[in-house]
Amino acid sequence: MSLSAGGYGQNMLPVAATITGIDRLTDKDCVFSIRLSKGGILRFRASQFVILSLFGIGEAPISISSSPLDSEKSFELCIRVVGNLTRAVHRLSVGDKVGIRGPYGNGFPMERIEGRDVVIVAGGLGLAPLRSLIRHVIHERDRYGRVIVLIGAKRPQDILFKEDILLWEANPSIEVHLTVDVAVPPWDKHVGVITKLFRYVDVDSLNAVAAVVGPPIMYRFVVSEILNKGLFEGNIYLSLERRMRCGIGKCGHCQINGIYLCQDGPVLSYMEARKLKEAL
Amino acid sequence: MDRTIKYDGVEGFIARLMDNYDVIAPVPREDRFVFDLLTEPSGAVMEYGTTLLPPVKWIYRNNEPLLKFDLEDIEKTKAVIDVRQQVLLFVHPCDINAINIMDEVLAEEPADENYLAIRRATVIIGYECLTPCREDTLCYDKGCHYADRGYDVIFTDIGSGFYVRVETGRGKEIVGGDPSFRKAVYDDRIALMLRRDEGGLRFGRAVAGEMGKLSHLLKENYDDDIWDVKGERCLSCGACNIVCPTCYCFDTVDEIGSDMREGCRYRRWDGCQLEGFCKVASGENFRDSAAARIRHRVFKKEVYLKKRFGRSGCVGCGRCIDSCMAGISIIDIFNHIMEKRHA
Amino acid sequence: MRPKIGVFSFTSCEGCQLQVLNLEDELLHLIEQVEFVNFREMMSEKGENYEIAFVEGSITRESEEGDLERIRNKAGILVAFGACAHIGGINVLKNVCPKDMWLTATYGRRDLFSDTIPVKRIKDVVDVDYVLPGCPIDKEEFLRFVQALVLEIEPRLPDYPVCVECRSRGNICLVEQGRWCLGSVTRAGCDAICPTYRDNCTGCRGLTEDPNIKSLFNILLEKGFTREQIESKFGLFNGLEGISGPGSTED
Repeated sequence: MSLSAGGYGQNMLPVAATITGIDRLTDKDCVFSIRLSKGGILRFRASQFVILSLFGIGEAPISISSSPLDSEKSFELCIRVVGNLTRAVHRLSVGDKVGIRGPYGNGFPMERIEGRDVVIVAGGLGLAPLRSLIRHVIHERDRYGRVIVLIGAKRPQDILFKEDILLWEANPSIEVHLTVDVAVPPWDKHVGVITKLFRYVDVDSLNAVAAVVGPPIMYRFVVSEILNKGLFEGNIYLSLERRMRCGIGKCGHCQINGIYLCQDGPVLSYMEARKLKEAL
Repeated sequence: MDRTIKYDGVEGFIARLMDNYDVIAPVPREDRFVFDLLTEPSGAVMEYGTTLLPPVKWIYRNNEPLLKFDLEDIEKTKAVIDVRQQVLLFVHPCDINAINIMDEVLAEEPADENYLAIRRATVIIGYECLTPCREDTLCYDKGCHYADRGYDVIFTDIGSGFYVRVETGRGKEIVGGDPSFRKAVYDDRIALMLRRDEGGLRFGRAVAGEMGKLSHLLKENYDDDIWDVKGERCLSCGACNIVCPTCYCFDTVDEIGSDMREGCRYRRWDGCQLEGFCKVASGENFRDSAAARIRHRVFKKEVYLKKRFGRSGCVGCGRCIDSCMAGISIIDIFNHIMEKRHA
Repeated sequence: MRPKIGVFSFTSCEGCQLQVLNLEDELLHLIEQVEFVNFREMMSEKGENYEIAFVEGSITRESEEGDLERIRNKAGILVAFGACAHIGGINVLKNVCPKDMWLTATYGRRDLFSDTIPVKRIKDVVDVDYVLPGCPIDKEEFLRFVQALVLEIEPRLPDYPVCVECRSRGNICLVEQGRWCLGSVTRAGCDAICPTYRDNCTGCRGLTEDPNIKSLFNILLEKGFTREQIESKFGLFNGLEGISGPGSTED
């Protein structure tokens, strides 16, 4: 077979990037700081994702956990070991190279969040993309109203970004509430499902938005709590997960009814998601 | 300027095409037909029933290389497109319409550049159907028993030879300089008109009801029992996806040479009817019943693509019906849904 | 640093081992990646320091169980290698046939193999880490499998049925032609070699993860095959899967 490299065909071509830092969060999650080679800059919005390549193993979509306002030089990916690719990434060291393409997806519509109260609900690994949003909001804190962050995890040791959470808890301009399904001493915060934290949510419902990311089972229950608080369906944003391969709206895996999540998502307003029977 | 060619001039024309192109033509396989690379000009068949795989699969190929990589040096990774100058010969109108759909869908930004590059290097010579090639077809319902664009030239049997309509500049180049063709005259055009009129009468509807309402009726019947009924029967074998001329879902696989130094990332055909299509690494399967998968296939063609591109993604070739060993037929599904309006 | 591999054989034709030797062009590259320390068909040394054991064949004598357990105890990774090891393979036919009958039919006498027991799969005796299916195994799949082990990633098998590969090759469906074929419920990876050469898929690579056996059974009944015929087709390789037709007590 003759393989001819042309000037085209770049849509599925990753660029080289270097791991500049690795921070272990839990026994199965690490945060990788990534810098693109040749001074490349990844311009992205909160809750966009990249597709990470290890050649010979494959690719996987990974949401960006740093804020677009953090640094131009690098970005952060929180990666949980779930399959071959992620397991192999966890074996890499600082200085090793990976392939990156993207960013893909729409990200959170910051312009529609500005000036409003913000309720952020993160279940488990859902904090990975939401950390990007939280950091973004903190960066330009005066542009938003009340900011309330609800975080749920299985056990205390499963909570991601504990260092960030300590900073957020110490920050008087935002409210953070944590819960775990199963408490392990010395846990002294809430125990139970994340919906229990909604009693702390007191916002200007007509002028508030919510951002929700978590395991598939979580959405219905959390959305119902948010609706009970009086928020508009169009002001509730969910970031969904599906199998993704190409990132360019072609391979079909991430399709939810008529939309390609990689292009039209991963962030959907509840108003949109509600109309998609396969979404929730 | 249109041309004509005598029956006995065709083989010479094919021989000259083979000098400059890979010529992919319908050839017999047992009692059926496939598009295959011609080795002899006489190998091509003009009168053939729908091929097992559609010709578009020579543009959207299985195991298409996307990237070449070096395991030692990631910077050496490069995109590859395996382009060959090829002619798809004697393509039926349904399959030309399918290629038109693929062209539109895969050109939507961010485009599928591999497909587009190979498509640009592909000459399409059509062969007009004057009689239905099979029973289980809904090409007439879909208005795809004829094609008015998408080919470079198209042959129509007019009794004395073939009338050759020339659609593109590339088509003009191919037939213009070839000694087998002569310019079409008034009588040839009359013969073409008559033949096409006669031919049109031989086609009939397979689906009772207005096709224009299908999309709407499907949406109304999203939760109909038919999906469960068909789902129980479905083997989730993916045959309908693989043989469909407008199915383009794919997976990628990395393969490494036995020396463990270099490798290639390939595109491999995938199908939404397969059990693992929507399964993520953590084990969650976002479309885990055959019923939901069949519904997705039908909705993708008739609702989602229609909404996005203004036309149905099904050209009515009938291959999915033909290839289903469980006997699941979109004609049955469409008729069932069409009846629902009266329910 | 090269992982050490042992290849072992129980009751089988040893054709799967032969497939490894058939990797003529790649064999030199392969031994740069891994070290074979015990491989009867290839070498006379019998090293015991293997990390990965490829075990071929099924268990048909009690004495084999102890041998297999010893291999399991030494190997970090144990791979059931080929259909006999994976699903019992055609050896399982012995289980459904009176001993006198198969002895007489096969050897013309019945006073042989006093120590034979009903066929067991490798997984019926010891824990199996991975499976490399097929009768015989696919040598390319073996190469990719070893590559995965060298790269320390999970070797993956296709999760789709043989039909995908068969249709992708533009084959005419055997079932459509009125013949029987188990490709629609059988794990792909063989590139549909049997149907491509117009032979029935006998299911040698084992079932897919969620096979619709009931539907295939009904389809074959509708095509005129009898329940007994269909059960015997499944029994050829998948005799230990407990497949039976509609209406039976196990249905």
